[in-house]
Amino acid sequence: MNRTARAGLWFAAPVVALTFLIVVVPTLGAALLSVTDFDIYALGDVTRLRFVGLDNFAVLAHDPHFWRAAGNTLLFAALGVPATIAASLLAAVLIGSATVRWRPVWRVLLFAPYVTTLVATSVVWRTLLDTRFGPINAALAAVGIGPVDWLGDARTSIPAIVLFLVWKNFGYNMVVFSAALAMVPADLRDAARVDGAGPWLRFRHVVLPAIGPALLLATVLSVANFLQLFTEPYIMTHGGPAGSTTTVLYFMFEQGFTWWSLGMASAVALVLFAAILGVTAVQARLGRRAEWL
Amino acid sequence: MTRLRAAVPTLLVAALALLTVLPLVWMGAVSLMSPGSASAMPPPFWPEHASLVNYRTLLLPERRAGGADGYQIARAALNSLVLALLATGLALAVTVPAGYAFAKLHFPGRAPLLQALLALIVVPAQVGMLPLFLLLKSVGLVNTYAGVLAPSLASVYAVLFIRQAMLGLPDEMLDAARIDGASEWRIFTSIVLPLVRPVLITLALFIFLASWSDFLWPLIVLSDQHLYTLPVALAAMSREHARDVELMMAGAVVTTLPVVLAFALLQRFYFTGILGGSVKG
Amino acid sequence: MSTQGAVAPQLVSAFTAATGIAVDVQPLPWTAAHEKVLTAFAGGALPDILMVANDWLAELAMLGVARPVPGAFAGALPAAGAAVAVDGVPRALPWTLDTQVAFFHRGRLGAAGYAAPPATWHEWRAMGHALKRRRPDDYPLLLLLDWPEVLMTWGAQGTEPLLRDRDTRGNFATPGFRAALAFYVSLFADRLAAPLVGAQAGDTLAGLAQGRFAVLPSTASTVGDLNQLAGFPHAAWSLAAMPTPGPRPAPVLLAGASLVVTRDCRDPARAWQLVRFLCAPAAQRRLHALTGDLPAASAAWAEAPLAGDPLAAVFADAFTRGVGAPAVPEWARIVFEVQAIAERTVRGEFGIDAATAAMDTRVDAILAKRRWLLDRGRPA
Repeated sequence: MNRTARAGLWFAAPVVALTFLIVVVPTLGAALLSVTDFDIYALGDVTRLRFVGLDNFAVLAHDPHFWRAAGNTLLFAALGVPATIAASLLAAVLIGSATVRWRPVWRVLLFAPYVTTLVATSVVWRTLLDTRFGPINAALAAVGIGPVDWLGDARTSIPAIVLFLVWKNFGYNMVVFSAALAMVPADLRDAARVDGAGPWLRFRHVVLPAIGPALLLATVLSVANFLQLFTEPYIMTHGGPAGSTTTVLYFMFEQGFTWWSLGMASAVALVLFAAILGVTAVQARLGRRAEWL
Repeated sequence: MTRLRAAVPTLLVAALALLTVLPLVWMGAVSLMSPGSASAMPPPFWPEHASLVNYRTLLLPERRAGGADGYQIARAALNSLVLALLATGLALAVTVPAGYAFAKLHFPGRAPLLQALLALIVVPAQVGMLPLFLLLKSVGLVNTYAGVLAPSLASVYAVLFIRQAMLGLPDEMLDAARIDGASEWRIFTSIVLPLVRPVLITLALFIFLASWSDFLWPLIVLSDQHLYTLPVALAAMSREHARDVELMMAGAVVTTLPVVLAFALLQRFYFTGILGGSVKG
Repeated sequence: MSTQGAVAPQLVSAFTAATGIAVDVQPLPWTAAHEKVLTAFAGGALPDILMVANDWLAELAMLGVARPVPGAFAGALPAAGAAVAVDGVPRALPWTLDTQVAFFHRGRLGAAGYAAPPATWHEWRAMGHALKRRRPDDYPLLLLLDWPEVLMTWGAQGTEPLLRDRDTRGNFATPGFRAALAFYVSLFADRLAAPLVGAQAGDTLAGLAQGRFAVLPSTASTVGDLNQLAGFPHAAWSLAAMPTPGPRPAPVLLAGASLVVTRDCRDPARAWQLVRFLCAPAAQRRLHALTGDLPAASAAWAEAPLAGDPLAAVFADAFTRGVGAPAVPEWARIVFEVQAIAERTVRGEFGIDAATAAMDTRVDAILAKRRWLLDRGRPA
């Protein structure tokens, strides 16, 4: 082996070894734990452990709490992904408008929520959405809309958190879409305008296909992110009211670190992993069909 | 187009931008209000008498009964800073050479290893968290800085990001240096690194921001309060001091101001970093 | 269980002054304390001394968290001594003893014709209606849907225990618990209590002081909190025992905290020294003065201020009928999940009978491992 190859191995070895230890081994460990009934008893004495095969998964399949968490997570994604993508696209179109002045200033302001620490802004928004003293309800009251119990009513808790998440995250995709929009061939746009196509048609047939790959990637990442929601329910609603904001990851955290049912929690983790993998694969397949990949 | 019509996009964007930062401005405003004044009807938007009393309560150690100093926010800020700096330094130290190796150094097994790394991207971090906790427990690293730092060192994204950035480096230049007798390490440090300095700054910024804002893992790993990072300390405080709105906003400001400042100062690098890998054109 | 952590430094400073041993105190928010203790245990990062809720002692005994108690603590109230025993063996030194009582706003009750909340469920509901008639837009009772203590207190007043079959199965479908659940749900159905959870309630003490609601079930430390609340004089409020199903005296569910020295402690002798100091009558009286928590040491009750305190007398009377929660490691989880089902019953998802059946099913599942271990003949 020559000198270059040796150097290559030495350079790559640390991170590969660390990744093996920190990602691969624990993932296999999760698979192993998921077929046992590791719980608080086993934490005290590991001999109190049983191999249970796929029992954990069977229990999950019949557990209404789990299905509720899964449903909540899907609802979050169903509401949040289109909202975030639409908001990002709208912002990108607005800021990409030819006649906008002081563009860098607006870009920084629009992007600011994305870099803020999630825990801190969760605390801020929990107060913003407060039923009695929150400014949002105060502003609504000024236009005659009665106080909405945003985080206390199971019907509005998810939309309220989605609103927060859209605010927090739209900046990232706005930047990505801005760059993609900037690369839409100007001559195609002009040709379409000359042909008499209105703005919506131009958007649909010229702009959208050009930014298609960026849209797809953003959607895939966004869905994966929404499937992994944890901090927001943890800080803002503790998974309530009545379990309406408990997500799959929150459910896993409760199983694992509140009740120490590590076997069950690992089963949940694997199910989540499979779901993310599945969703990603489906979207990749759709993207390939639309020739966006 | 009339002047007014031309100004409309600017006005729209400006309105959207100001609406977007409104919650953050409000956060700062409330943090300067005197305790108890935010819980009034209707809620005030601006402090009557701006004061730093909440910050004093938050950051200065004071042995008062029921005081918020119990959460040691100042200590947590220090922890966050040290951990973020360590994470950045250590992560760079392991991922940058590896990224270079995957880009420019042919070694046996490079292609399959790269495939394996790409496959690992889809594994969500939370899958391995519980077993990783047990693994760290077996070597006594729970509730330590090392335990908190562990996941940052296994950043597949960073390796791929560096690799992507270095693919474009001219091989001829590297080969010339080899012919001149320079060692691979020498080539890496004297030629390659200076060429990719902006990329390094970008990656360092991303790692720093991610470490600062990390919540779930430090929440799980740290039980000693004097090791808490800011997000964990803030979350603990928020469960107990939910009614002290002004104090909580001050805590939120302390937690998020450093990253917002870091972003504002280095935004050029940040935006380049986002666009570097994700636009298919 | 609210502010002991904040005042602990003051209590231990006397210890440090007397013995020269420095003590580091870490307060935890109570809502996260249980998981933090378990996480610390799992990570091998336990502190030397822990303040624990008595309900957790069975779990901690099973895990082997606490060192055996050297010598019994003779000076404790009988109820407190029983509360720290698991399988007949004391597992901790009792520190405080507690139970739910009903705090009330004298003015609002007086305006409705009540000097104090009545003693039975039926009359309580009538009081609630009387209060509601005077202020139809307010909810006279504050019962938060994520505070399990109230339902459990009423559930424990029945003649049947909460778990059956060597504490391996749920016993919530009994007439006694069913009646308790029905009473609990009816208070919400009659709009006497608002379906809120803790995070939305805001400042509950301020709410009581302002008369936004009239009755607040809570524990002894609320006495201390109310005493420190400006603008709400002592004469404006009081407390009474929780109502019971009928005129017959009913069991009172006890809570409270105790102190353990953990297995990881490297200097148990000095740790026990601190624990005994904190459990001694002098320190206990000081704690009561600071937070309102009630001491487990009987000697502390014999002198002022506790001896002549009418509020403390209500607690003392309740303690004589005290019973502990079932001593199973899963109890904290059982309470949590039973309350979750109760919350969904209040919100209309279940009828009462379906709810109690669901509780039994859920609790049976939670206790499955315990059944397996007992059948296998495992030690506690």
